[in-house]
Amino acid sequence: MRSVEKKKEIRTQIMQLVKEFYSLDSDEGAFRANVDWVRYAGRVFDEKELTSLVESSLDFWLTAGRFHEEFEASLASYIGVEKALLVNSGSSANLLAFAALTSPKLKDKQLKPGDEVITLAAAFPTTVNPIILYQALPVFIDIELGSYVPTIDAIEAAITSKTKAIFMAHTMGVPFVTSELKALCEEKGLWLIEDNCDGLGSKSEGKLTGTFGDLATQSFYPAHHITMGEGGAVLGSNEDLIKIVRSLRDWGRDCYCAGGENNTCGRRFSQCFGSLPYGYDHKYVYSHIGYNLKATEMQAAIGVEQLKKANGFIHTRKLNHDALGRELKKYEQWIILHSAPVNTEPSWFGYVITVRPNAPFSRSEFVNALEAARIETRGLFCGNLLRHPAYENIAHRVHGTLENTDLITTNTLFIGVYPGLTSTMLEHVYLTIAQFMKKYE
Amino acid sequence: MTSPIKFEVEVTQIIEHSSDIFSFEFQYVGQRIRFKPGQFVHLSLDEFDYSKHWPESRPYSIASAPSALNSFCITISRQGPFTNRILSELHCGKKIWMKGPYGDFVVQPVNVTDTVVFIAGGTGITPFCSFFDEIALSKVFFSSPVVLCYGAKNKNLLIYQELINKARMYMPNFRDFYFVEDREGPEDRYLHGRINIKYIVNNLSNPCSSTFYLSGPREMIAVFKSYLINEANLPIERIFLDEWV
Repeated sequence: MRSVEKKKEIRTQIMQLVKEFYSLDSDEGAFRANVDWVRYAGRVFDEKELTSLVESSLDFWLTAGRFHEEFEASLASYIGVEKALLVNSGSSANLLAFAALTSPKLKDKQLKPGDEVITLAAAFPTTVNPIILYQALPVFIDIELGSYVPTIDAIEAAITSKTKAIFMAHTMGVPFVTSELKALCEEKGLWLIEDNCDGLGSKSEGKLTGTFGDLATQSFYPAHHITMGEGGAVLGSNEDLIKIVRSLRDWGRDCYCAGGENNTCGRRFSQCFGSLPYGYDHKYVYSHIGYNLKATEMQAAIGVEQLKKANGFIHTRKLNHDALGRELKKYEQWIILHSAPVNTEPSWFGYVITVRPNAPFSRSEFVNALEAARIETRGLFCGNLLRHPAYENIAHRVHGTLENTDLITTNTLFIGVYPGLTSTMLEHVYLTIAQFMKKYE
Repeated sequence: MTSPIKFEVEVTQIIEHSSDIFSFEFQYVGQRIRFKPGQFVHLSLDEFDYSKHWPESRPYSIASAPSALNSFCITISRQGPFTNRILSELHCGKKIWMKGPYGDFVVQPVNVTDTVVFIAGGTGITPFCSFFDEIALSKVFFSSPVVLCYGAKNKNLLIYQELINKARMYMPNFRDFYFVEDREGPEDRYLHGRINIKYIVNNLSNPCSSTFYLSGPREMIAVFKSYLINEANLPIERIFLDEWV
């Protein structure tokens, strides 16, 4: 038998064994309340992710290959943008999306040091960090309690003659963006970046988030809607911006060859750049000050199968969130329920609860009760970013107050709604909360 | 602007324009690509395995319409060893690998009233054929003025005339100039000699609001680009190049 055919045969055998391996591993036994943890998030996968990963391992291509191609094309199609660029994390995606706006290739639309960027202090740090790192001025605005995103009015009120961009997240999957905001940005010549890391599948006015901005980002860290371990993506339909993002991702180079390939443009040794000698190897011509933020082929292989499950995951998150909302509604006098602006359909990242200031219990007491019952909780990321040691002395401006942002710092938590939660786990959550609240009724 | 992919195709038709110029029609075996007129693909003649490096390949402009869902064409002229291999090894039924689409040589007028000027030297006509084929296939009127300047060694090498005539029905403001180096007798339709960039610019009503697309040999492009920038004072943003090495 030829070696090519033999390899195919062995590959098939390996995949079969992987499936058998998974079937043994997945039998973990029934959930035990107060013993097993109810996680706030986690990987949900089956044998398909494992076999895809092993397929990629057997290819041993390592850098961008067939799984990259498939994932990027599938993700772009899923979201409804022209292009998706796979990167090694959502944080890297945010860095690249913002960095792209500082490219000299954008000429008079280039973001420069001192330009103002409207964003949130109630944020994950790596949404705000690129603004600081590129020496733009973050202008922080407050959020609404319940939705944890700002209103369009609040965003508009913060715009000045120095404003050049709006860059914020669909926090916990709740969309902040609308066609009205997009129109406002176009009218005022502002860049709009959507951090969609929490919001794969969220919709505003019937349209998926990630499609409104000049660029958008995704995260594939295990807590997110789909995972590849570490991973992220930059999304967009503006060809010029995508070229810039790709260059910044790939060491800042001008060349667009895939890994391990040469002379895709056909002019590798026949162009002139800067003051380099004519014909300088295009693979080593740098048009940006960039990074290497690429993902591996193995990550892409996992992502290919995860993306196929995205709709199911999103649907289950919505069901779990709705069910939690119905259970928590009876305690509305003491807690602010998680909500969303009109005309939006969040793909919920978690269920956010804010303990009202006049509640007979504190957030700490509530969290302790949940954690004691082995129900994992999280604060709403940073709370107020400006209160963290790293941000105490950054140049910034606050428009209005951050009253709600400060409240969530002391009073807000979230619990999980991810598709790995079973009905038994959710029952345990309802029961634990009911037992806690009973003390105060 | 979709992601480039690697894809397999099968040769379904071969058209011989001359002993050195052939067009090949391919059908997708698996995945198909989405591309824009003016983009190119890489063609390889060797086996491809995803666990190995991409084999030797060369870039060729796509000569057919993006809307032709199941097939596409490229046109190749004999240049050297690789094209010799293509012309000798490709036959109907042969499956090969390609990758793409690539390139930003895409027709995008700055304004809809701007004149789009296509300058094609020899098989440099191929990226424009994709544009013409799309118009002919979609039957959508393209109202921007279009000027085609096409040059070849002799009139028999002015290929794709039938396609251009089909497309002109949907381009109400279309003009074409043909240059042949070896003109046989007085033929009013053809201008004698190589493409004359000065002649073209002088025949435009408003060169400064025209966008030029130059496709052909590197030497031709270098000379024309220099003239357009230095003599016709055209901004670089209005000049797009598809130069071959």
